[in-house]
Amino acid sequence: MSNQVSGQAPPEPRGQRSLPASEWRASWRRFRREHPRSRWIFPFVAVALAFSYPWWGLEGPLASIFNDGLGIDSDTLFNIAIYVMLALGLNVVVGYAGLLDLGYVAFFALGAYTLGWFGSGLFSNRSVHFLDTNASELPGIHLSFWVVLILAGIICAIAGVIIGWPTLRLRGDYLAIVTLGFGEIIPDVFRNGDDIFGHNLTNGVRGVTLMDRPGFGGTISDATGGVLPERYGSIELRPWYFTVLALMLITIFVNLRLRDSKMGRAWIAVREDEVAASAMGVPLMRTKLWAYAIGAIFGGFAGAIYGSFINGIFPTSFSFQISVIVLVMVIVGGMGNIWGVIAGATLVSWLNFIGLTKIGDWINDGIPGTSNDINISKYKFGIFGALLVLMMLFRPEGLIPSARRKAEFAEGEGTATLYDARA
Amino acid sequence: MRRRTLLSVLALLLGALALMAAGCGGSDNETTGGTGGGETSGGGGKTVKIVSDLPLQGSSAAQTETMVNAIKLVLDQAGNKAGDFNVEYESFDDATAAKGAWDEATCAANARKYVEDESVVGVIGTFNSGCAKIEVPILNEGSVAVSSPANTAVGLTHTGPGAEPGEPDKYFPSGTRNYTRVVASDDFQAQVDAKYMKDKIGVTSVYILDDKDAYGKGVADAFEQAAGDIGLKVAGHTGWDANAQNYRALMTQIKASGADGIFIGGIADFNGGQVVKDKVAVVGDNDAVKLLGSDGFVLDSLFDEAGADNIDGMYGSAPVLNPDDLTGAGKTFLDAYRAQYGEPEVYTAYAAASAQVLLDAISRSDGSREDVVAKLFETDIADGIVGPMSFNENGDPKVGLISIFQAGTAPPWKFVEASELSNE
Amino acid sequence: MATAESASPRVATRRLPVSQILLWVFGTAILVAVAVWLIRNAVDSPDRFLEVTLIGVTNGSIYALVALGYTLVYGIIELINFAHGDNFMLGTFQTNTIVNEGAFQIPLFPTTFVLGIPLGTAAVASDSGAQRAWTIVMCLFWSMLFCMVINVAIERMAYKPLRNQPRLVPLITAIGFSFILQDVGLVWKGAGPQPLPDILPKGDIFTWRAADYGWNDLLVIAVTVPLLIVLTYLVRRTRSGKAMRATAQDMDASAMMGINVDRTISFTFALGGALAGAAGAIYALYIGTSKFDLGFRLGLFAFTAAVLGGIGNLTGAVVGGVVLGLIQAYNEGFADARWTTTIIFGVLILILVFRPSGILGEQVPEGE
Repeated sequence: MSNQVSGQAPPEPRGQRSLPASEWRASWRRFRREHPRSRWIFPFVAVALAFSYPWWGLEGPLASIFNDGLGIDSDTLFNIAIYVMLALGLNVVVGYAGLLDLGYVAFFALGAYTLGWFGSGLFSNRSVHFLDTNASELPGIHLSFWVVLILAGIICAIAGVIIGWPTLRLRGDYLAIVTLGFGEIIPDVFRNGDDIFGHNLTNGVRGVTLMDRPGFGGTISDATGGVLPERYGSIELRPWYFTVLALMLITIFVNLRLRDSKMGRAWIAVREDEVAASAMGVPLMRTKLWAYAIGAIFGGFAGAIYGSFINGIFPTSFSFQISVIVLVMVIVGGMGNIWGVIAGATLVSWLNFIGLTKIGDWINDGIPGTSNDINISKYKFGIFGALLVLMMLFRPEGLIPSARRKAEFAEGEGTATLYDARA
Repeated sequence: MRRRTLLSVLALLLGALALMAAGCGGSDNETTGGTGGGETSGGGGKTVKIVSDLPLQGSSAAQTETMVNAIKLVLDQAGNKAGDFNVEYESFDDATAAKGAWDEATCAANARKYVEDESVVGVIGTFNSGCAKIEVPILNEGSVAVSSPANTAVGLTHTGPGAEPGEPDKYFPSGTRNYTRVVASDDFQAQVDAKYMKDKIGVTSVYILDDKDAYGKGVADAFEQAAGDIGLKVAGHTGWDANAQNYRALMTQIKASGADGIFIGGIADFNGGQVVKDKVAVVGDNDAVKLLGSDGFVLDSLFDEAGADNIDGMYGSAPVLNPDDLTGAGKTFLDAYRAQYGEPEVYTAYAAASAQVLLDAISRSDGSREDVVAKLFETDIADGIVGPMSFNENGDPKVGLISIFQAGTAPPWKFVEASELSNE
Repeated sequence: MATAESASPRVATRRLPVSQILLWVFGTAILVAVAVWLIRNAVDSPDRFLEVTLIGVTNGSIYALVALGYTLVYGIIELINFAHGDNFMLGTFQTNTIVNEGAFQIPLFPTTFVLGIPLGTAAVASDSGAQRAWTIVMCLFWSMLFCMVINVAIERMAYKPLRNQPRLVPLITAIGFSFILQDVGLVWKGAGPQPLPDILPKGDIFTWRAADYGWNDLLVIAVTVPLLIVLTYLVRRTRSGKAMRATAQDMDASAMMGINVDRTISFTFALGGALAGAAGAIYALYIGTSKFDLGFRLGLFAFTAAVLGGIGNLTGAVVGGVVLGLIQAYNEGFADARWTTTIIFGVLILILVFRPSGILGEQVPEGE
């Protein structure tokens, strides 16, 4: 089933389709064949561009296009990076293992509340400090942000296993509903969590404000000449951005390694045909649980750093809409293809945060008079919904599909049991 | 396989390098940003900027649009000048259409924008206390003065019932207060409401309901404490789910509790009309079992949403005076407002008062951010738009005012009485 | 790793009964605890228990009507029609327009089609029972028609071309339509709650001990029960119903037997849409307010009801709806209303984990 698709390079079109106009494409293909490492050129350039964005996007001559024109300022940049991370995490669950998770926001929330528990003044009757960047007299549990980050990953992974263990045996669409249920329950528990048998565990709907910030402490900061800041500031966003980018690189790295690992092949097998995979000796539950837990870890990372960046977490922030928007990112980009997911997440989160507003402004400016002005942000959900429907109707494999996924969708009939097998 | 690993490691290394480079750039930038406010100090004729930060989309939009207009009118009347300074104004939105309410990421981004724009010396806002809790610490680091027309959360300015541990100091990392508000906080409202229910309405046992949202829960908790303090029996306290279809089952529990009064803390937009409707249907009308709603229920739209028969006899409280009950400068201002923009809402005059306070502070300052903050706390306006205005060291108005209203069978809410509490 | 994997299938079969038994013990314990708690409350305050039960049944009837739409569609093409709840919401808005403006309106089009009947405020002002009844009939008719057209249009446009795709594809499409319909509601009526005047006379028909039974409670039952009877008749006794059941059992085989599968599926969607419209009309008249985001939550609750009763099973949907209404009412009446969402979704998860076939057993094409 896998001979015709290599898993890496997209299948090449037949020779007779190479027109003179796309001569360069043919030579590029030849170049790629001869130099296998060249497929890293694009990712490499992309990473370099992403890291250097604050210099060429926020400042300098191009800033008028990117910062002002497209509206990608430092805040939006950070949010885009967070959502790319979320999308990469969800990609493991949906893209690789084929488990439709409609409650991914639960892990985002759990990651943020992990920071609330171990890196804020929430438990003000305790005073625990461990390598943190706060004044030592500050009440509450304050572990080093980096420790909290790892804790967030661990707690989310455990939660993923606890949620997944009884539910992952369900068939695909039931699983989707159950995950959706958890996505609703977890924020609701946080919302009511200010009085669980008399204990205030989450500060309820008022949320937790003033979170700990990442930082490297005075010693490291001095030793590196201030390159690694002692404590991240609330105005200067570059350290935040680079931290997320670094986390994102780790996520990409793990994604790539997982995809090509034994586990990754097991996921694909489970996704394509559970029964066959099971018959071939793939342990279904364990394979699915791993996918679920690993996806959860990245959601937790993103939640912790987002909570710290916003400097407050509110149970009302973690709505079903976020789950769906992250799902849209994965689908638009191309399920199972990391580069597609990154592109999709960047595009959709840009649209979500500022792009639609900007497009609305362009339209309104383009049409003279103010009487016909539309408030495009009002149509945001409709636009995202339409995006989902159109993608499903015309290009279910995504903008930049993974070759294998494309083949699966092209197969059409006969895949009806794809998400249907019961373990 | 090995080559790919090598490349990945290389990519990570490059990333780390870029991170370091960024760290350098970052720290440089930080120093210039931090002193930005100081550079604007100087002589007259300078231009400074004030901004408003309100949720302009969703359910609050009806209020906030009039507030933006009111601020514009105040500036017009002052000729866009405060003392020697030319004042520019820009309106910012802290809501997203998707949420239909304030959004924490937008609040944070807005606050950073104000700090980074060196000409901004003051912020009128926010509308929602939750948003203020995000913005104030950021603005505090940039020493930007804040004058809120509508925040009522206790912990933003002082400790007390309803405030959380660590509040309010945790919002002011620089150690200097930069936040004031022109309305009284929830603990005041809760005290007045509890006293009014016990003494004037004659309730002996009260059931407390909140809308499970930040404001409603806050004022309901403060009310529970205030009721306990004055010996008013609390029969129970629960929250309603804004997405539920009706609340009849919930109301049977209240009926069974034997309470002869119900306090509702929350915002009518969270299905509050249905709560009132089901209360009357199950527990009894508002003569038999008294009903008092907090600020957020004193809305004319509630007459439609709950039905005029059901709302008849309900009490409401608010830390503000209704537009019709303002006198003196307030009346003059609202007359001008009506002539230009039409009918005002409850918070319209309070936005104007916030703007007035801020312009007054700017006119007495040297134009630097720090000095505007200092002068803001020295405010002493005798004939302000919503009455005399001066602040204590916490940034609360020295005289806190809470009005009680009662609904009839048709809008508007009828003003019953106002209580003033000293806040010195 | 390799050895563990090859050994695991055998291990799994050995372990399964133990974990299954544990799950059942856990499930039974929950059920017993709930039963004890209910009986205690019933003994402590019988009057209130009765009142809460009545409320639960009435609210549950609305869940049941919406749940029927989910279960019909799921039974025939195994699709969780996410857009169904939002279709229901548009039904409440349509009724709202009819009562408030006396006119039928296609959303997002400014023109309204004034219906030449005394409606809305006119009906409230007049005391004529006939006029009230006529208004209700009009609301029901137009809302049902409206939602029916939407449902069939969505099916024709989107679900039909995707019928042979992996299940994930139409499911995501349904989520997309749910968002679109919600946005239509938002743009149509705005973000706030949309009230409409009471059409029904106030007051109670009868009061027995503490339990009141009002006219609007009667309306819910008086509409739901006949609809159920008609629906059962349609599915059990008519040719179209027979075609539906055949298609549900085996689409290919029924196509070979000369059944027009496309038309049968569209007919199912039409039925589901009509039920959503009826539920929307009742909801708007009974509750009196609706909101653009109502459909998402209520739709999920209704889907939970369908699963609870056994998806694909018509009687199951009704039973599930009523049971869910009761669970909600007992929780709000005797426990803490704050936890309703958690409890209902908790029930959904428990049912899916312990008994995916629901109370009465599911009836789906590949059902076991």
